Amino acid sequence: MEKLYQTTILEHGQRPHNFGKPQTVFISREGFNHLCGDKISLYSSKNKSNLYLMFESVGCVICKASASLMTITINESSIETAINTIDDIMNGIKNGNIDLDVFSEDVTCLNQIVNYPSRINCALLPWKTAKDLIEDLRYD
Amino acid sequence: MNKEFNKMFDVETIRSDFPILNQEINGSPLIYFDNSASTQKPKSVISSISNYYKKDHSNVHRGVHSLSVRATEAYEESRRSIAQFINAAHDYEIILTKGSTESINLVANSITPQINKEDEILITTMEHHSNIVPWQELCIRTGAKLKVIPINTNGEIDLNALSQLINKRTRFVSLVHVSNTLGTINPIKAVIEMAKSVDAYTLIDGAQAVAHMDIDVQSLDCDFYVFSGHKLYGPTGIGVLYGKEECLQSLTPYQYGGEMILKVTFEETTYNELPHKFEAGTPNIAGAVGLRSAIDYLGSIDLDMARNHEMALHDYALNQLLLIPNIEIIGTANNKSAIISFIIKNLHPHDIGTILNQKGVAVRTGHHCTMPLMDHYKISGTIRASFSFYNTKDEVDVMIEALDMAINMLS
Repeated sequence: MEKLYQTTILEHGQRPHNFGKPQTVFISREGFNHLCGDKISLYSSKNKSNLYLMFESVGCVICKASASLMTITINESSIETAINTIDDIMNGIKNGNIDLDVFSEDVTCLNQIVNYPSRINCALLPWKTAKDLIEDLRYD
Repeated sequence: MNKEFNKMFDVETIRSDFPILNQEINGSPLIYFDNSASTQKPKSVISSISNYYKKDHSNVHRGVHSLSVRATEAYEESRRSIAQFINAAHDYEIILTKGSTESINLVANSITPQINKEDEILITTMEHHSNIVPWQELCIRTGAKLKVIPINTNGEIDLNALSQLINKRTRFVSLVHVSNTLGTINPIKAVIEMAKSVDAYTLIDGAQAVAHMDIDVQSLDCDFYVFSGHKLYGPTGIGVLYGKEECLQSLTPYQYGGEMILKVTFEETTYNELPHKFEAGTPNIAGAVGLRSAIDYLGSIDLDMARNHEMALHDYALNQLLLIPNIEIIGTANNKSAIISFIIKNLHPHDIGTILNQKGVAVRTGHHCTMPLMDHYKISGTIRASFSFYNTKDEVDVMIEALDMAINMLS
């Protein structure tokens, strides 16, 4: 249990980075987990050439921590890089094999989620929602 | 006034009837407090299903060979047993379905030709999605209006508001007997009487009630009553629609095919009599056998003592929970079943539920398929502990300890 609610997850879950709504919202997207009712609102304050996401959520610690790590990981990326990163991390969450050689040590804490199958959707929700938002940006 | 534990109630003997309870989860003894979602099954139910498949299985009705006769007898005996269990006037007023959800869908679909755009359908704020969505769809098909009976902060129906809402246009009142989220036991007799005064049909969703109180559909005078086998210590995939004979006769069939017909030509079809008119296709025979066995099991224990034990557990757990800082109980009706929903300020139910599971404690977390009720309370979900007669006071103590640990870990 301590492995799931480890320091990194708790830090990001309780004091998430990029939490809140920016003053200027260029585009936004809502994500919803119908299994549990959790919601996340993602906002991009800038246009597609300079990705910068913030979020609000009524989700659990896992969802908030995952959202915080997501914004840190993909902000300032190009659209294409962000999409590839999101795909890699989502696969990594599902299989517990986010690569420490490629991503930050903080993000690899999400590798524990695979041991708690009922919580995988909590961790995936921010990444799925970000992908939807970025797709919207790409075709805007 | 809190219910006291009765020392005469031998919970250990009861527990020995439920083999699933004798196991460890994550290294701790299983503590199963998710009985509102589904109850566990006694050995007698499990063996009845196994024995049916070992000895008696064939398709029901129309067969001339011995196995078909035996399967038919077992299936129809289950119907008789259910009719007696809820005191229906006739066996053929019992329609066997997949569960409460299918039973409500059957009624909401089959009533369609009787509903028009001037009509109103009444439900309550505390309904399960299964008693909301079928009526929304009926309203979309017919143009009728769906109206919602409000509840007070304790989670009780506002009968004054109901008296304002109910009128000549009200064609159907459908409500839950016991709220799966709040535990509120609704004053359904009063609601049924009000509905009768304007000639509206009544449907009672008894999914959370049948395992915890005596049901007498004739005394209630409801038109329809629905419940699921798996919340009554029976198997999944079997449930009941009770309907008064004249009400069932007025409905068009729900599904079409074998079993529900008397005569078929390429030009026209004559439908079968009740109850077969509503049971198209091969039914869940083993499920019906298991449900009968569950009813027999309940008849074999002292139900009054068992129900007293459930409420003693509820009252004890509630008192212990109220000692936890920053806890809020969601649903504080005067008349409650053995269900407690709660939230802890700034902590998410899923995180709490995951940590409790690591200590072997199974509770349900989330919206409990009552999203509009969550909106009413302005919350995203709750932690719900729901008790059965096989639970113990010691198990409540373990849950409270695990809650303390979860709060410390997450705070």
